[in-house]
Amino acid sequence: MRNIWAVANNTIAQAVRMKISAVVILLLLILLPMMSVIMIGDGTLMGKLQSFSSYGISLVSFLLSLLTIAVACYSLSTDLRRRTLDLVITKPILRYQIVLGKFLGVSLLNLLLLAAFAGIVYGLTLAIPSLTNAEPVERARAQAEFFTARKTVPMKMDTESMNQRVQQRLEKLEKEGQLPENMTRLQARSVLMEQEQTAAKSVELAAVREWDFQKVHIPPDPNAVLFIRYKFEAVPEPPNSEVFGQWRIGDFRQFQTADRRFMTPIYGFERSDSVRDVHEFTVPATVVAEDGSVTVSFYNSPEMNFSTIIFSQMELLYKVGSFGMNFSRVVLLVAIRLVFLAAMGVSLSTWLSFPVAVLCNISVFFAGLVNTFFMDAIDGIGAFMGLIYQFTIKWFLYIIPRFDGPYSPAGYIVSGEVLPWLFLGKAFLITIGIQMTLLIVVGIYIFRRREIAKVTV
Amino acid sequence: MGISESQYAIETIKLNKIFPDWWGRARVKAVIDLDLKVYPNEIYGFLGPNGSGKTTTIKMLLNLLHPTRGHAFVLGGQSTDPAISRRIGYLPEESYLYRYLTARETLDFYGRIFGLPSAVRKDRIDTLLEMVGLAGMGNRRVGTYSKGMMRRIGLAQALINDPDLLILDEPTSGLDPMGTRQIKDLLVELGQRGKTILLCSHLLADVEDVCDRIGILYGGQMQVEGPVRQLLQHRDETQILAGSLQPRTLEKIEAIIREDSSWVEVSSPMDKLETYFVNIVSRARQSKAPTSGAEAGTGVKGFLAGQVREKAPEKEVLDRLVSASMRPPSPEPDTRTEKASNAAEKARPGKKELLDKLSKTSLESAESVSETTKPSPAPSPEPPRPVRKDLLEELIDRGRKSDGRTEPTDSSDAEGNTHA
Repeated sequence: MRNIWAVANNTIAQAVRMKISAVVILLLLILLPMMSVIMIGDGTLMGKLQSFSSYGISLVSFLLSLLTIAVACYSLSTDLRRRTLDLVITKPILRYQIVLGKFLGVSLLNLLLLAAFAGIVYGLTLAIPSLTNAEPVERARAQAEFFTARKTVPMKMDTESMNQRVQQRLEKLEKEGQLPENMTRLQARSVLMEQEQTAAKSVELAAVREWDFQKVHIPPDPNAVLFIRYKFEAVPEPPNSEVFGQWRIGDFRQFQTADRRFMTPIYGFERSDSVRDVHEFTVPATVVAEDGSVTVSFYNSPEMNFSTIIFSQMELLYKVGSFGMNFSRVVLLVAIRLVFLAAMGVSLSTWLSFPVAVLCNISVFFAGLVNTFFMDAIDGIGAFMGLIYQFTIKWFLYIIPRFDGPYSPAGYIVSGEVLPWLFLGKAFLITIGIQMTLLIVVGIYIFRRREIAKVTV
Repeated sequence: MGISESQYAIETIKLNKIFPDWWGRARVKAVIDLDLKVYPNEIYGFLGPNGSGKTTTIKMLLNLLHPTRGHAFVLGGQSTDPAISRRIGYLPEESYLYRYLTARETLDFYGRIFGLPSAVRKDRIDTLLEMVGLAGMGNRRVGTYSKGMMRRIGLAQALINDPDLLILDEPTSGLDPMGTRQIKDLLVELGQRGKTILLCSHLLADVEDVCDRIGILYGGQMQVEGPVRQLLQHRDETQILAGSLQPRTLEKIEAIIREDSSWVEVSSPMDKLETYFVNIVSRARQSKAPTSGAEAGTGVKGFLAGQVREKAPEKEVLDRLVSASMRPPSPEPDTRTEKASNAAEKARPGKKELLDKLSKTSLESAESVSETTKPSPAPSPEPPRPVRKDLLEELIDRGRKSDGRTEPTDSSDAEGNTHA
């Protein structure tokens, strides 16, 4: 351990003297405060907070990732190239200690930088509301929707019955020979699926639509509230782009009980909202039934509306923690990324030169940045091409870590959505426990076998 | 330098190294069936022209390269074993040091790897920096050092663990004559202290002065091996040294010798250029240094620090260009240098103490070390080793004379100061 520390210290001393470290640190020191001033988002306090904090943490994460890659690849390969390792290796030190020391040094340095800059982003985010002269309403909204950590329960789509219906309709059309000639079966199926999905989201005139949410377990708190967040479109477009809705929320099963005794309240209200915007309303958390289920209903009143309303978003949210807690979890997610990249850089540079190692590492990093997106895209690709991808890129995408989608730090902060421990734990286990460990083991294996003063004629 | 252990300090058995090209075909046979044996407590000169396989052999000894065939043992084992590498000091062919660390940090880094406690580490670093003449420059980045200064730090790091076996690859390359002389003295000193040294060099003068045994490598194979004296001595010639003689006396002597030998040659002995250089520089320094003798320092320290401060003018300018902040730690007396340069049988009390400090006793008691940090200005002179040194000098001179007959033997060149 002593030797590992000595090497780690030396690596940090080397890394902080690299120009790229100075550039990254300086850039972040200049950009972050600047961004906190010039970024305004959509003009509201909430928009400013969202855009600054998400871009801020993304920038920190991106630049530190690049720094990690550069330093990790540089350190060991340069020691090998400049032969400084010749001297170190003749001392009573084992080779795995050198690899681990390098890894530890690079990781520590970048984690320290991450902590420092995440702290700056956090501090600036907290300071923004007091630095702007926002209305109390806006402040309250920011407080409720941004400075929080909420758990989201998405609307449930009954995909199974949907698939069944699509299948039935498809078979029926085929039997009747009514499939359009210029359409393959697959295409027809996707068209039907789209129709079915739209139908599931839409509320016809004079119709009632209910959304059931389950497993809503709100932490006990007399003042607890839950939020319903939604967004809709209307066809045809209503005048002044507003839709009137009659809402009810509560445990509707109580209507069916024989004695009609109500254990939980059911709230009903009417409101009118603009189309194509995200809206939220708040109700006391007491509406949730003991088994954690709650239903929201929407009545498209023909007296006030004349459009079909299509809900593109419908979620239930409730607060489970503070903004600070969520922010630190997000930083941990970034930390996992940095540690992985450090391990990869060190591991690669045990046998690759600096440029090659950097190229490999950067490739993996960028692939990771689009990994989830690609995986989804490949799954949707046609049969033949899909097969090719299945056996080439897919396994590659599968073994490298993911840095986008749910693994991207910004989303959680923008939406004030909690990053669950379970997810963080899974990411840690896979990225650190398996992928990183594997890389380090391979790196040590190669490094132990190689000739340090290798000469190729 | 007898064999105190039955084991060899360094042993290679049919060692082979073949460098393949990119396709794996044998390209260069760097070392062929080398059986190198170095006894404990000897200074072994490993000689050979450039590309003869010296460095390759050393790197195989240290496991930096894997032998193609054969085995290499160091201190009876493999150098990858920390228990063995703990006892080795290595100076590579170039000083592969971290340029971004200061000299002090460099030594501290290696000291930590050796697991030295921080008090011992600090003490040793001070001692070593002083010994290699960089005491005032310990906080400068190694990257700003000149090649010679890097060499000194390289040597310091090789000694940080008080090694039993020193493997030095061209220790004097890039060093000025004063530094070279100092390192040679140091090696002799270390040899006396029971260290084993593998000295790899193609600067023959260095090897000749310090080594007990030499081996000459060419084309990856050992050409000749044996004790220096034995290899270099002219058994069919005799050299007589005397003070300045009258021509009449000379004639008489010549006549006597001719009775016994077919030829005789009479000339004034030549100085070695090294001795001459050291003399000139120290004289120049003396005339320019009013503080001479003001403060005491270790001999080695005085020697080097003074040298850095007051060289010949043109050197000084160069040095300033390279390193503006170079400054002597304290004014040093020059008396010892004078003494040192005057004759081969110089006593080096200062260095003795430095070495004492480096030796294992310092590990046990850090207090006793700090006590001796500033030795007295006139330490009791150690018994010098005139016998061996003299013999070597004699050998060299004789060698010069025998094969250098065409050289001008103008005695005025020697300035006559050496034997004044």
